Amino acid sequence: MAANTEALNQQLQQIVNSLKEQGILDSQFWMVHSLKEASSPFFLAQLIPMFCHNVQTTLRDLNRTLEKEPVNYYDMNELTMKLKGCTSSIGARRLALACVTLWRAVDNKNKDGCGSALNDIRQEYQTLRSSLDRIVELERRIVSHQA
Amino acid sequence: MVSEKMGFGNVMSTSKTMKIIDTEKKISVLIVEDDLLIRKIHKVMMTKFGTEVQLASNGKEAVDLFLSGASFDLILTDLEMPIMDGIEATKQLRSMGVTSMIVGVTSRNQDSEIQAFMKSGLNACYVKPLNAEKVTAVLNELKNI
Repeated sequence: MAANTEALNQQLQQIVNSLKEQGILDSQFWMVHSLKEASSPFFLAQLIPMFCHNVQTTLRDLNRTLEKEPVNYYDMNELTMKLKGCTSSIGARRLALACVTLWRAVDNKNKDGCGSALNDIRQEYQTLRSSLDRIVELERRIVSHQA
Repeated sequence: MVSEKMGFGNVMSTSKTMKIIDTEKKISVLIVEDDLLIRKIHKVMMTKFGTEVQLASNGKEAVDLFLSGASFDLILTDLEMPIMDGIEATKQLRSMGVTSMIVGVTSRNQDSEIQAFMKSGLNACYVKPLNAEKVTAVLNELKNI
């Protein structure tokens, strides 16, 4: 059982280290992972779905705001900052950087730039999402082995 | 773009004298943040650092806590929140005579935005994400007062 848990932890470490090497995640992710000790074993497995829901909801709201005429750049600004906050807080480095690009387009009131930046954010999120799903699966298996 | 942190030696606001912290009891922290995910992360992080944490999901909840007689050694507050934002909440708390350390934690990183936040009465302001280094710096500053 202990060997299985160790093997699962190693798999998790490999995935996260690979994502870090690609710049997709940063050290904040491991810090958040370490918070399991102060919370519950399910902490990360619960947090990641919350994060995904946050991103999807905010992206939907950003798209809707951008589609309206005239574009409400104040709302775009607030939504972008919300997305930047949650992506940086979980360690999703490339997503957070993509939010900065969106912020610049919003600040310049550049609608085409906003559209392009939103596409980049969607792509970055899709890239990250499959790895996050794998991480959640591993976390759940680790917790069930430890139970 | 502003650097990651402002304050503790570069304070823009006229903050009041900090109250004396009893180092024998746990440091009490109020986290003021509307985003559930970030609130959860900050709560567990501050708990891991051995503090006692209470939560408020906007500035009005924070002000109401103090009006009801609560007090905290440290307030970590977001800037943008519904109902009452971090700037308004900080101004109200300082006008009520609250001398707790108030630290802003925001996604915004433009000079003008951070300075406006600092002017409301913050002791310091950090750009998200809140990490171990920033928390350590805040708690060390608190203990050294």
